[in-house]
Amino acid sequence: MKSSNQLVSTEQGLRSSSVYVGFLILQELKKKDRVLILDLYQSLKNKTSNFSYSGALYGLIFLHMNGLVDFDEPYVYRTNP
Amino acid sequence: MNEKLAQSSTGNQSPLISGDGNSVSYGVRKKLANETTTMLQVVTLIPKIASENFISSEEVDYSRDIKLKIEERFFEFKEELKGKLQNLQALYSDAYSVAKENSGLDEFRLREYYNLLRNLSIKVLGENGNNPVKALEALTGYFKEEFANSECDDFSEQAVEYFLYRELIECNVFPNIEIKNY
Repeated sequence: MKSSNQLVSTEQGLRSSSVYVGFLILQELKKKDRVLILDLYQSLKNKTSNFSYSGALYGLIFLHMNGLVDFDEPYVYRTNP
Repeated sequence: MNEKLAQSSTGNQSPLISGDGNSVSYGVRKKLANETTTMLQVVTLIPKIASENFISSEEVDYSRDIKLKIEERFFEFKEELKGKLQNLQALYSDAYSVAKENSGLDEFRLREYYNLLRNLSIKVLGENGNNPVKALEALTGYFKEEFANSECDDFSEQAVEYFLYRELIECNVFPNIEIKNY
């Protein structure tokens, strides 16, 4: 198994990977059109037992790279393709 | 007020979480068992021990085949390695999984540290004549030195040993190297 080109790194648990955090963020965005980023952090803290700001940031970056989310300070909103 | 903090942030109803009215407690248990704190810190000490990559990770493919590793590469040490792992498994497996989940490091830093660990372990294996048991003892010796330097009082040497054994299974210690063919 190659150690490069993997979406989820093997060294880290699945629940702290950027993909899973991105999924949680999208779940939160399902309910409302756009969310304040501070509310987003709060809801992530409630959902996961091990919350880290850098982990949340990587989740947001992952979503933005795939064109699913955009930012309009201080809101995060979902772009419907 | 402190109890409210404790219950809201960790959900842990332990009576150990308390504090006098003067100090702020962030709802964390005052003293974690020392094997958990050891394992949480072990990964952060890796860059202090190993600072050189002599095998660039782009040229190399690590094949995570545990069977190949144990049966063929370390054939003579199979029983010894398994026996040691069985001894430690019951004591430290819980602490290991807790530490892995809650490490708090982001994935890129973790990847960097584990690359350093792979290279360091290859180097140590070479220094010890391809004997994995001796190499693991040498590695725990390095970590022990670093813990002593960082003035951490309660660290558990066996927890470090167990951590290295588990990482051997995950092929982060003594990885099987295949040079990529172009």
